[in-house]
Amino acid sequence: PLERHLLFLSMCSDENGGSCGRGNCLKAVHLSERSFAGRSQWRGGILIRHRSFVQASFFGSIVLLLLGCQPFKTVDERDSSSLGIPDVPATFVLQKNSLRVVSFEAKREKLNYIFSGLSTSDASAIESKKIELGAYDFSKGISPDLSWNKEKAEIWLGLLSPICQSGKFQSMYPFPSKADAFIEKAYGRSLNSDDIELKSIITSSLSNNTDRGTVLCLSVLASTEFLTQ
Amino acid sequence: MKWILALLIFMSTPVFGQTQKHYPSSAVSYYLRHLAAQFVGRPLNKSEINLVETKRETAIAEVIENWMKNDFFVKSSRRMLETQLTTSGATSTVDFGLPGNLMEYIVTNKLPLSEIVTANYCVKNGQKTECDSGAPYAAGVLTTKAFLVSNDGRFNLSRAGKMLKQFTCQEYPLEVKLQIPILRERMIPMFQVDESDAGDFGNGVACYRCHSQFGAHAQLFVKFSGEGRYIASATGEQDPNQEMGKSFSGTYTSHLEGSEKSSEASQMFGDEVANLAEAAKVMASNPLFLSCSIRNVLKHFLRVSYIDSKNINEPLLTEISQKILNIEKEPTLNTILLQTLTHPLVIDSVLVSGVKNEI
Repeated sequence: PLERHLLFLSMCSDENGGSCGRGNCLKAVHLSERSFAGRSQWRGGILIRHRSFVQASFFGSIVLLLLGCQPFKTVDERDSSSLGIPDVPATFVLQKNSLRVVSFEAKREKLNYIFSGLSTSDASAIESKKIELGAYDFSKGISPDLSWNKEKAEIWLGLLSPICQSGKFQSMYPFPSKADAFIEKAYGRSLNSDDIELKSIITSSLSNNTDRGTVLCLSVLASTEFLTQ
Repeated sequence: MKWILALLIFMSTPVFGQTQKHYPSSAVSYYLRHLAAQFVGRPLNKSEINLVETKRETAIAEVIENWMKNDFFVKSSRRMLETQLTTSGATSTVDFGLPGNLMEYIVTNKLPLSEIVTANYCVKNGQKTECDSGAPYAAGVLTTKAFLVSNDGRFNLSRAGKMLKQFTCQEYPLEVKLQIPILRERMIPMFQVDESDAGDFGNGVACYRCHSQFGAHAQLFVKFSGEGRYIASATGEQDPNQEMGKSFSGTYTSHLEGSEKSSEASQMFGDEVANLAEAAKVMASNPLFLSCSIRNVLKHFLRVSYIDSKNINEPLLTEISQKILNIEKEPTLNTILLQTLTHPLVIDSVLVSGVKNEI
């Protein structure tokens, strides 16, 4: 998918007079990622606020389905001057029009690097899904599959969830003080305008820093730039 | 003397491209971030980011050299070979990890990459050991059950074809000056013809054209059974009770007539050889082995597709090969990688492809 939508459900208090009435409610936070040349661009906001968990997630999903039906969008060629190189002919080409998803081993190594090692349970969980995430075993007739689709994204998010909600992550990269450090470590570069926009969306959509940190973690580690070469 | 000096300077200048090209730090960062996943499995760290900022293009070699000390790089090199040969894991009868073990050993010990087909040993648990086919010689991965079983097939065509394709990037029919065809009268009748009705075997066209070359390389495997065992008594005779291309004791039929059928002796790239081990040495010393190694590292570490790797500019490969051989006569994977990935035209191609990659 070239335009992906992530839905997060979060608790909220109804201080802004939404549809919930009194007390706490659920809100569906929508983040959409458009990917090009392995880079991510984020947009998002609050889809719905509702007292009922079921209603919030249901209507949120409906809106996502509608958004997902938008026609395919191409993006303009980026000006080569943005990388500061002259316009030169390529003596060979890399794969065009396809995302080069990194190997299973690279996905695992990146997480190890960012979190200075994973817990035994997280490492085991990731290992248990290695074939789905691109590992191979030719003796069993399993070739490497480095495609990416909705099912794999769900598996990946499912593995990231406990990691991004863990006390270890919250203490290593508390939001907002270490948000920039987390992004820089995950991407191996300084922040750009897209990262700043993502942080801004998350900050305005969610009401507490724990949730903000979790959502930032999931968004970055499930992003195209993180998962592709 | 002056003209000798001028000639030397001219000969040391690359055919095209500059020996030292300048890039802004943003481009260098992009390039290294592109490489990082296959080399070290992680994003650039702080010191690498700072190095790029201060040293720009000269940081590329330094960063790559550091990455090659990492265990992830050794394992990535293993994965490169395993994916090429489609061998990994194990069954109850075959250790499909032996080729990968040998690759790790070669990379870790900075041995010539050619040992992947010329080593007279295999590796298990990091130690040298006998290879498992039972052959009286060894030819690196070629004499492992892993390779032999993964590529077994009638007339030993798959073994010959895989060997040629993965280690010299060539496919049949080859240029005649590279692989001299076997004379028609030496071959079994079905391969003497130019065309035939595609019956039990083959596609019916270019029979002699391809098989006159295929046959020489397939002959090298005539003593190896489908289970990857060396059978010294194998005759290469067609078993009349089996389908075309299958001989007795699980081995495969020879392309040759008469007493030559059972002999392992053959010809590789114009050189007469006594067996597979000698043929592998000839193959590994041919310039095609090094240029194919360059293509293979570009395919794995830059994720260039197979189709695009076939279209890589030949003069570029020649220039990179020459640079490598100027450093090491029997180059290691490390040297091949460093010289390939620091070449300005390789860097340019990645930068340009990345910038214009529409999704």
